Amino acid sequence: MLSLPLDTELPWLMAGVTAYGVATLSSWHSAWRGRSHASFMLASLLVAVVLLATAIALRWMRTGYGPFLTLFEVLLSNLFSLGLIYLLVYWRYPLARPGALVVLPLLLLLSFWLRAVSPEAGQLPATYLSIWLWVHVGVGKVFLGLCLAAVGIAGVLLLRRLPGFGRLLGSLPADEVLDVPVWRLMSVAFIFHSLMLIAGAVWAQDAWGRFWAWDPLETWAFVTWLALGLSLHARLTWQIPLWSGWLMVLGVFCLAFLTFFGVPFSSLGPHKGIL
Amino acid sequence: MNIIKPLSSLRLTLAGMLLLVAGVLVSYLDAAASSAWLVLPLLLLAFNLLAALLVNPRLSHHPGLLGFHLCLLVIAVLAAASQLMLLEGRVELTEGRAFAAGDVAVIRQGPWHSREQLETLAFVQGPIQVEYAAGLRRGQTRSAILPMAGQGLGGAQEVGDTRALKLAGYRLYTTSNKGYAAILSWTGEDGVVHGGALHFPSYPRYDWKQVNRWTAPSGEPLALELRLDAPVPVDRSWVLGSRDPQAVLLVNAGGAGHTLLPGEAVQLAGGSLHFEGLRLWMGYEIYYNPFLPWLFTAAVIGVLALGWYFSVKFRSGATAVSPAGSPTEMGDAIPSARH
Repeated sequence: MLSLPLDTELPWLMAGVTAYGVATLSSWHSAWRGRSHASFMLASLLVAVVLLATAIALRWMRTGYGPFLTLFEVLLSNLFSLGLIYLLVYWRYPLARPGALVVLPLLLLLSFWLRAVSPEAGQLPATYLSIWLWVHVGVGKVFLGLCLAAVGIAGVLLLRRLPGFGRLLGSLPADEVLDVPVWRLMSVAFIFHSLMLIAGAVWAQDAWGRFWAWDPLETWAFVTWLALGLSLHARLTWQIPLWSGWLMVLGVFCLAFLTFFGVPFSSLGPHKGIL
Repeated sequence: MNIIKPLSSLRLTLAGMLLLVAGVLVSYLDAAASSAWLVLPLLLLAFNLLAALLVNPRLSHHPGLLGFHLCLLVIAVLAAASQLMLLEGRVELTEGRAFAAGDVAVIRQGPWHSREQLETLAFVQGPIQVEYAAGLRRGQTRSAILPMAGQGLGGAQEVGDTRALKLAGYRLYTTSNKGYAAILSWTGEDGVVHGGALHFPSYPRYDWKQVNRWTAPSGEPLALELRLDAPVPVDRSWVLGSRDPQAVLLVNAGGAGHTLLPGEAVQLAGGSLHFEGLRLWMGYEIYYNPFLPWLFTAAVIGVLALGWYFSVKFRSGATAVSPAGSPTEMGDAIPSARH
């Protein structure tokens, strides 16, 4: 652990958030003008992710532990991981690109929340010193990133149905076409959510002597998994209107968001930290 | 067949999942709620899945999808079997003393778990160390376990935090519950000696009430209090260790108070009490579930199978969840909406 001042990582964080802001403006300008800024968007996202990675590394050197514990750390690491996963999706899956109109503003909102949270460090409990924590957190972040990418497209599709947005977003591909990446991303997200539950169970068994105890975080994570499974089955079972499927995707994301950023910091479960 | 077909319905799957969500939320909001809230939807889903595996060609045509759902069924069966075989309990062990199955407080025991199996465990609690950072923040716990003959323990083992003692299928986990134990011996007037360890409340959590009661073999009730010379350090890091701290034992017998240092004895009605010294005790959670590795294996295979299924579907150009014949079963051509 290095002796660094409390606000060492903050300039890098602000620079990263600024890069997200630039990417957000670019995405909306692109939609308004009907021109693609894909290369500029990719570059902005890459810059943001590198700056945020630097902020995390500096904080890590200061606190001596990874970004796992406080709300500030969880928000910071997710701001990085969500950006990184979205960058990869944006780069490798062009059909998912329209979702940037929703994804990037959401990342900016997350940034504003992060700036309102105290950057004070905590102390990592000894039960967090497990490789399974890394696996659990890693696959969880991939799940949330894919879910965010899906919700971005679903959000754009829903926006397009609102008065005033139809013309602005009219140059985007048809609903039926953009619906494909929504469900593909949610399907892969389901796999990573399942892996998150498995890795979490192994970690819980090692750390607390039980693989499942229905603590608040486990309960809400399971409800999210069920809701995601339910939406995939509902899509399969009924010829539901496209918009209702997108609403289900939004619902799953809201549950996941609550599970990731609400429950751990409002409950006294073991995930909270030191007992 | 008439029953199996409707039982395999995907709509029933949805209903079962909704019921399970409701059951989970009821159990979450009311800890006293019956387990039926969870068990009944799970049973419904298990039978629904079993029926679907028998008659739904969509499942049997895709080995990955079939594998995933089979694994779900296996997990449900293993979870039920676990309830029959498992043991959950707690035990406190004092440094230098052997594990005794009789000391285990059972929290949950499956009907097929034999208590005799627990009695085969034999080991001795070695030295205990718990690190603390400033602000009484608990760090790493190190608890040495010393082998006894024929137990399959190669040598002394260090357990703690995320490292459990694994012995004869049992897992013993250290907990945050630990404290001081007074090693006492009682010599009756007939010369018979009784020895034991008296555990004081968890330390440092209850450093302000290190008291306990004990009835001597003579029948005399004794009130004992441990007074440590140094207060708990709150502004610096420190280690709760097994070396004897500076402490005195206050013994109150029938209104008369006595102060004992380690090694001292006091004559009481019916015998003498010898305070041999101070040790640490560690609270453990005991867990036994022979199906743990199988649960893990089934879960991993299930996820891999689902990944295989999705990758095959994606390569074919369809979404993984497209209803048959729906307009979403197309490639990545991008016609514009042109509103």
